[in-house]
Amino acid sequence: MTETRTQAAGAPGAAPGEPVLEVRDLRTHFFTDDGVVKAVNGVTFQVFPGETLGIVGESGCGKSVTALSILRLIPSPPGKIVGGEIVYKGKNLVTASEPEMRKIRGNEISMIFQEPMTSLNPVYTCGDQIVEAIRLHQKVSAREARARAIEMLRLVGIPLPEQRVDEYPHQLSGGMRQRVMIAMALSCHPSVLIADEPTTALDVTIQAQILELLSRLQAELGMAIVLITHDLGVVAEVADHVAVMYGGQIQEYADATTLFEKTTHPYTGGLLTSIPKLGEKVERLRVIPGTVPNPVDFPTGCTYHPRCHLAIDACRTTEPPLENHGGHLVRCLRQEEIRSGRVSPFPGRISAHEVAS
Amino acid sequence: MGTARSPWQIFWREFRKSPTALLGAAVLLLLYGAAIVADFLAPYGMVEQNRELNFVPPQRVHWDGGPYVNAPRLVDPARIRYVEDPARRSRVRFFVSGRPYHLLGIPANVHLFGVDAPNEIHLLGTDQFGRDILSRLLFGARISLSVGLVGIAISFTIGILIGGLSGYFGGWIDEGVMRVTEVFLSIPVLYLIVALAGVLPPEMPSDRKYLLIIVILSFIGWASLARIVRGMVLSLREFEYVTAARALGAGTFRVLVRHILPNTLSFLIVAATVSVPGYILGEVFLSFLGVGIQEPVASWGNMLTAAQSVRVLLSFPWILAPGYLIFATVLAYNFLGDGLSDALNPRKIQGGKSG
Repeated sequence: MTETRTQAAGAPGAAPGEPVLEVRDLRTHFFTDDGVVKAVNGVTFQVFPGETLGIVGESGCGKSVTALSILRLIPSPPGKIVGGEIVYKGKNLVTASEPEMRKIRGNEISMIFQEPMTSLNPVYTCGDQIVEAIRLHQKVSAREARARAIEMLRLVGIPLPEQRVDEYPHQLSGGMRQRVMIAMALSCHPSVLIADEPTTALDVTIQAQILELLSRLQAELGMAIVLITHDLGVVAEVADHVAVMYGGQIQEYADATTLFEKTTHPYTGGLLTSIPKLGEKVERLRVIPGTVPNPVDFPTGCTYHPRCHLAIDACRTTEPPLENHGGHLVRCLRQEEIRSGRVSPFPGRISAHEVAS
Repeated sequence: MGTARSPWQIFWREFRKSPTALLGAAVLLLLYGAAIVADFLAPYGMVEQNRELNFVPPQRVHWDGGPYVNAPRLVDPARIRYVEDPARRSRVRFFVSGRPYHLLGIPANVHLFGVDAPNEIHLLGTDQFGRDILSRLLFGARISLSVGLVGIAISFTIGILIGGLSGYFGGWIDEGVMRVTEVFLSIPVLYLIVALAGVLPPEMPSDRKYLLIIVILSFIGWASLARIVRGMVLSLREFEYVTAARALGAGTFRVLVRHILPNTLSFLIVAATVSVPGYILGEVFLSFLGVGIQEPVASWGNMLTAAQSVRVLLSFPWILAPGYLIFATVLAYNFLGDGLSDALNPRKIQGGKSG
């Protein structure tokens, strides 16, 4: 992974090979009684084979809906993909038929969820659930599937897999359940694994173990990972590319090094500034003022302008386009000023230019 | 945590804790077992009668190194009073051969006990036609105890399927189904039964007629269950394991039948247990109205019809025997249901570690 990172950083924008999954201007809206909820309203990113894409954003920014849209698991009605393309190995999943999608789900693109306590069915043993996942896609005997289930449990680092395979989810700890979930998702060796906040509900020590496990499995099995999280620290640790989402839109997308070193969007700046640093004494935690906007009634213009420290009048009226600068995508009207160093994307920091004037 | 426990082991561990539930289960096992082997247990047939021995009180079993009964002698024909006649004693014999029958398809003629003809044995007395009440209770149990099972089998199948689909799909399907259940719930069942009794052809055999009424009742009875199942599915489908199953490529039917409905099982078992007595009491009630099983076929309900007048009740209290059995059955079902709902409490099943 380190290797790919350096390669990507060395040539920002120059895509290492063909993306296995590409999302272009995805729009998923929910048609509710209160109005149209534009949960996803312009999401664009690429996922490369064997790489990790981190999608970061606050709660309610549309990360999970993006993930569910890729697998076409949006509850419909009221949800609907109203625009954009999801291209997996040259096939547009937005227009794929339901039987085609069933073949892709779990087999080509898998997903693991945030809450390991509820993402396993309490009435079946762990083995039953992995066996089901295998037999949904492959014609193998029950005995063979069981042997593969035990093998998968061993692969995800569960001790005594021959015993664990017959245990029920309630007999396992949260970390173990998440491992079982990963074993299920990877049992058919998918090309893409979508991990929707896989560590949020776990203890910090277990979080590290799960992330390590995902990295190891990625190296062994070679699948691409879409890691959805609100934790920039996690992203910094494992992602090759990062997409920052706000208000249902991608605000900034780049390889990890570029994103952290040449931050160009004030929202990314805000997120980075709000991470408390170890050993630093502060009166209060720094936060981005305000709250995530109501998706029924997004602000006009740039969705981030009411909370943005760089907002100008134009931000209230003009919706900024997602501009591509050599693979570094930014959605901000003032990105030229930021890039040239005249203003800082980090709130509370004065740029050299402003000091001079 | 120790050794692995399956949900059934946890269920059994919890269930054993309740003595009333165990008692209920034992009583029901006994009753259903007796109904199945009624031919073997009953000394007489369902319609065998002896007009000269009507309203015989329950006979006492005496012991002189072996059991025997004294034949009854009519002493007061006007008030139908019997006394024991010690001169005509008959030995109670076991595994006697008698009336032939088929037990689970195997032909047999052995009966658990009996006395040598021409004497008779009536441990629970006889009714107004001189029929053995014990035998009629055993044969009647077949109808009275099975109606509940037939009833819930039909109404639960329909209720679970329709409620499940309605809750899972939601939207206009749900709207439509719920309006239909409202129509079914508003049908006045009492009038419908009386009307049906009048409409059905009189030449139809009474047991068939009765079965038909039960079927019709269950076709109406699914509605309330469908609403409950729909509500449960509505909340269960939001669980992540449902999305997870879909994300693994499971189809709609599979998700509903394999992943959602099994999670309603504990509720359904309890609901089924407590709704069986309703059907059993329904049979009693229908027979009282004269709509249920017709003479000479025995059911607990129509046997109780004979006990309608106070005079009969005071003179021949033993004909109330089916009443006690109905009472015991309903109570046993409620005890069982109570124990099941405790033992199947999802918190206990799922939180097995702490239990």
